[in-house]
Amino acid sequence: MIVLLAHDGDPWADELARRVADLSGAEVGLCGPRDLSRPGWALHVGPGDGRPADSRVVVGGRAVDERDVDLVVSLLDDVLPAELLWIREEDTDYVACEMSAVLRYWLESLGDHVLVPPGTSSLAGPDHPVALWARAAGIEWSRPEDWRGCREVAVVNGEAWGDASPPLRRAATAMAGWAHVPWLRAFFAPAADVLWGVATLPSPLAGTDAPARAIAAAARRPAERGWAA
Amino acid sequence: MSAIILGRPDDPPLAAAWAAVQHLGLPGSFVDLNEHGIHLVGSELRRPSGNVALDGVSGFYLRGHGAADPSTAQALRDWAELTPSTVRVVNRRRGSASNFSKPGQSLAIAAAGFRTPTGLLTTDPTAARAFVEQHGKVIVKSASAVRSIVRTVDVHEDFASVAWCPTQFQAFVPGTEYRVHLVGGRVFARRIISDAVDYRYGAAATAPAELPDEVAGRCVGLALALGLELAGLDLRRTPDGEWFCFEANTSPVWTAYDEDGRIAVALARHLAGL
Repeated sequence: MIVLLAHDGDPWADELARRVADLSGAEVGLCGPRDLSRPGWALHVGPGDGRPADSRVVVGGRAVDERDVDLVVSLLDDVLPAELLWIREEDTDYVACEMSAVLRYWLESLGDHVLVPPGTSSLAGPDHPVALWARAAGIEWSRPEDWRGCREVAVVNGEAWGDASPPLRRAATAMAGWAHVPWLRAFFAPAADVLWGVATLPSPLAGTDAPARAIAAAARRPAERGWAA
Repeated sequence: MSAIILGRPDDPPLAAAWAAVQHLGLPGSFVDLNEHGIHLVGSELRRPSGNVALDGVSGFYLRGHGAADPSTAQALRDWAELTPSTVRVVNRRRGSASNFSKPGQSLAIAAAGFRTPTGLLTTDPTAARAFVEQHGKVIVKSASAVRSIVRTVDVHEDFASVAWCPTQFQAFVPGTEYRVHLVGGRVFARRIISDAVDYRYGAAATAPAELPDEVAGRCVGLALALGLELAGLDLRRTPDGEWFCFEANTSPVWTAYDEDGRIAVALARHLAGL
């Protein structure tokens, strides 16, 4: 099974899951914050190698044996308090933090079964300061007060999408290569070659085909991975 | 070479570190983040009370709680993040964020050679009860950096609420508790004297302690692996002589354990590049 971690109700994630299933022939499930409020999660922490046989996760409302999960792809940075509509408002900050902490542990313990390991504070991957991304690409950066009009470039496996200029597309591609990630979203100022932000996430700009191919390709390398005994 | 300490003047760790810098006659500045009108321009901190050049800084210690302008505190953290590794930043992002997930941090703790408690993260009331039945004395605590009061769990409790939020249960580890602070490669250990499950919320005293060399080495290795210039480790030595580490606190309030001022002196010297 391939699991895509995504915010609940994300239509693009839904579409991506279907495309991944088409390309890979694998079962693909979406796991969102709502699943972390369903009975069924049981992750063991502490001594011992490998994953205990009774570890379980909840994917798409269904409890799944964790050993049946071959690959996890995170399409979210973290769980947001505002999206926990079924939790009392005064508890949402705490619950969101706990959910993110549990997901982080899960992703960090999965080793090669995660497509992009979590970053410092993002579950989706490297989240370097903007200045570092810009330095890697050799461009200027700034911190915008108003994001309106920003230009986005999406990169998947070295290919760039977006209506930004070739230099910005090259910059975004360079950043993805520097960070060793299969994809990213780079945001630039509307009227200057200035970087505003980066997210290590696939973008709807790239459609679903390219990200799905990247995920399916990663899932086809089971010989390089396997649960520890 | 100079130390920069930033935050509220009434923040105990910052106040103690600054007092040590001054007492030792080390070069440095204290930036009161309560002051309005502070902003960063390049590597110069501009403020109504006088500008501070950040070039040549050897150590940077920021605690941003209660800053007048959180965006300025963030800009300063971002600036520090880009300094060369020779600048001793307390603490850089990677290390600071390592305890956003305590079970996640436990992976690094185990890799450093410590024993870690047996735990369960669960939304399954049945699994929670089975864990408590299996391990007898079990505690529950937050998995994130949000502070929680550690308490023991009764097997007859109603576990239904765990279905709403994954909850961290841990098998209780008996033994003597230690709090160990690391400043650079220097180790400062205190033994905790308390009967409370969570000594922070019960009656407690501390006494100086010496760690076995091997354990001190593991502490230094862990702080290094996590990228922490300053850390507070929670350790427990079991009656069998095994050493468990529960957590590496990445922004410790070390003053509560520094009766003799040795941590303050070490930190001041470390920030000054000595």
